[in-house]
Amino acid sequence: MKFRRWLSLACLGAALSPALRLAATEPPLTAAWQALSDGFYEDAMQQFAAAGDSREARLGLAMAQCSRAPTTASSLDEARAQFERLAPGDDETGHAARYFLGRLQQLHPISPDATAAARIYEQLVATRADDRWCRLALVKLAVLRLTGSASPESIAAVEPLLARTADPVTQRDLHLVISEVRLHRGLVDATTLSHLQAALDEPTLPADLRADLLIQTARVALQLGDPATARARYERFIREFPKDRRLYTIQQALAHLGEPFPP
Amino acid sequence: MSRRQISTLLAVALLLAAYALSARHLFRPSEKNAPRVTLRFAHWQLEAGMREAFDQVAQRYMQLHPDVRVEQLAVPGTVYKQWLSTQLAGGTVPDLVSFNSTDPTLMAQLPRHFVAISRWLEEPNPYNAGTRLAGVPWRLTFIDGGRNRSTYLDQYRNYYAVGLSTQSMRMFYNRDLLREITGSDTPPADFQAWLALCQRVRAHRPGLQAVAGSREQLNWLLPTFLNQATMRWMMRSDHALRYSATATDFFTDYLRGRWDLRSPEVQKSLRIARAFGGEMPPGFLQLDRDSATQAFMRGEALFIPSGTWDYPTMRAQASFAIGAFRVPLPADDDREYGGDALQPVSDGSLSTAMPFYLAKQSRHQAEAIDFLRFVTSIEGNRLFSHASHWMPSVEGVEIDAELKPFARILDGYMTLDGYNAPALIGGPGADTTRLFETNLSLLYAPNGGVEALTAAIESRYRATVRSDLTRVLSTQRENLRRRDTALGALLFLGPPEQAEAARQLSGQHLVETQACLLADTLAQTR
Repeated sequence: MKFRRWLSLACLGAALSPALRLAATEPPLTAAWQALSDGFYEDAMQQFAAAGDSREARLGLAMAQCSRAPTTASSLDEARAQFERLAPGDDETGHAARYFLGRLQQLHPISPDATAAARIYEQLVATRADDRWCRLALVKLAVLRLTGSASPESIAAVEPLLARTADPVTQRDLHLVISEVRLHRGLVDATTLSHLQAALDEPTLPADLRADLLIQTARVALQLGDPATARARYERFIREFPKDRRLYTIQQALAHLGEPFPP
Repeated sequence: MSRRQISTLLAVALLLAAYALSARHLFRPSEKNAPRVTLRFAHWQLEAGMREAFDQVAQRYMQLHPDVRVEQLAVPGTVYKQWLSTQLAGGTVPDLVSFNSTDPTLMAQLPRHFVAISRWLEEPNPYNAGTRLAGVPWRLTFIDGGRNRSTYLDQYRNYYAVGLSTQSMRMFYNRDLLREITGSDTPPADFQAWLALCQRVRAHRPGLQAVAGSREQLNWLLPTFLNQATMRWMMRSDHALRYSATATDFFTDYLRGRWDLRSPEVQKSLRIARAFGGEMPPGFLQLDRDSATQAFMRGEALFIPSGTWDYPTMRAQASFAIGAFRVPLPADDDREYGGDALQPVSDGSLSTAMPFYLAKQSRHQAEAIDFLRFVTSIEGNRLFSHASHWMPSVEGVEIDAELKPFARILDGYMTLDGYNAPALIGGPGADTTRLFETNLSLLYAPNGGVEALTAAIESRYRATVRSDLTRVLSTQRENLRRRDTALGALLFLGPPEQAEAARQLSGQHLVETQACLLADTLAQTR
């Protein structure tokens, strides 16, 4: 009886030992992601390589490969090949791989291929997964459609992208890039104001962007003949950003609300 | 051995025994008095009085903490970077280190060698107990909220340093000489009055110069002065309606034909530049900063443009009283130079300087943080500012009367970007700067002037601006590439990191949009 019990324990130990050994030797991926987020690409590559052959580890390895210096055509080709192997999976890792394939087209070549990048982002958005990679692809797709040889019609054609995500932060970012391009093209109108206002209303908006948006909504509202909104936005700016270098300018803008400004 | 020899030997032996006892006493202090910890901090501020100021703060801290010894290492700026690299590599870096945070090599390696101090900055500074800053998170006790390019690194999502001081650019003057010339030591109120005073200076005594200047002095003051003198016009490039026009906005407007070198505002700027530099000695573009400072200290010039970091040295060496003011802008009714300034004008963002970083190698991190807390408390920062004659970095530390002219003026207009403001002389990058610099002598030559400079550079100006903007775009893409995977990695970490990623990604989307718009402009104006 005693011998049998020992035998069972020994068999169990033998069966579990590879897993236990793996758990003991594989560093958690957290440290590798941390190293990558800090820009220590070489460290990150070593940690991902030591972490085994999971899809997530392979994704991390490919991402680090993209940024590791020196960036050469062959190192990028290697990263691309790794992403392509991961891309067919319909999970977050697969979506991340597809997103970074788009980024490789858009950012890395000497002559970026915006069309190819947009095509990848479109396919990713078309999955309707609305995970974090699809959301990122949605904003990048909007940026590409808004710029290039974008006409007023093509700028308007970006608006439906807002309905492709339920995530308020992604919607906010879409409002931000749409309003940026509209202002750059001189489109100071109610549509631009509505995008600015929608971005401003999202509660997790970073403070530096909120400061800009308060000024932008005030100035657009003023040009559209709405001094009440302008006053409210300027007053909020003064309240929330007392150390901003533009404080005096805004105080004066508020004081001269009904007059040409700067005086 | 004679009796005399024996007594000599005895005397020597007694002397040696007494020496040994004294040495033992000196070099083996009792347990009670021995410092438990020795903190070392390093900087390169060798200006007059700076080491003494650091010593005073250290002495006060050691009074409060007899078990801690604080030592400063003042290393000349010329070898500082190499010295620091050696210390880091050798594992002998001091506990606290100040360094130039605009150095990209050092900044890229920051988390390897230095500790993120965010968690300490969220706690109140205990040395502010009993003051109006009691209970306020340490971070918020700084005049800039503790956050600027040197102290907070977006890339690493953390605070890494605290700043001990603030700086500004001013026109310093020999107060005694001004009184001798004008009967008053009040500086002039507008640009024309300043030019008129400069004329009086030259007539006052043969050989006396209005402004002690060099190429460096011109480069320090002139770009900001020209921006301030033409801010109303430059604001037209603020297409995004942020009251924050950037160099890219301004120079893409040039490529789009919205202004050129013959535009009245540009010509006016160049006239201001000529008038300004014309008050410096002939051939000043060949002089260096030290020659200019020495001429000023010898009383050979009434004015010298400089940063407030030079004030302690000037103050210690000058045999006359020193005043300082901001060069007055052209008045609105000045028909020759005025009309484009927005007055009053602000000095721009309020930001702390002289950041100190905590070394990872430090074996006394808690004590080092405690020392930093003391130096940036109301008491410590007041002591440092008063002794160093540098302006304080902490809210509520009163500025000494003699430093008040240096205080940054914030009650004024500022409609240009804080870090990437347009610079007419300098352009959007190195090529345009070089084009101006190699031809600037034409602006100041006796037979030269605005037309001579304009004619010399206008045929190459467009290609040069384009080349610089192309490089700007390339740098933006490089930065986006570098951050792209790092931001992606944050999404695999915990909720705080994911929230930080969302924050940074919003900024990244906007930067990317602006990069695409710049690429459009470059393509459309080819």
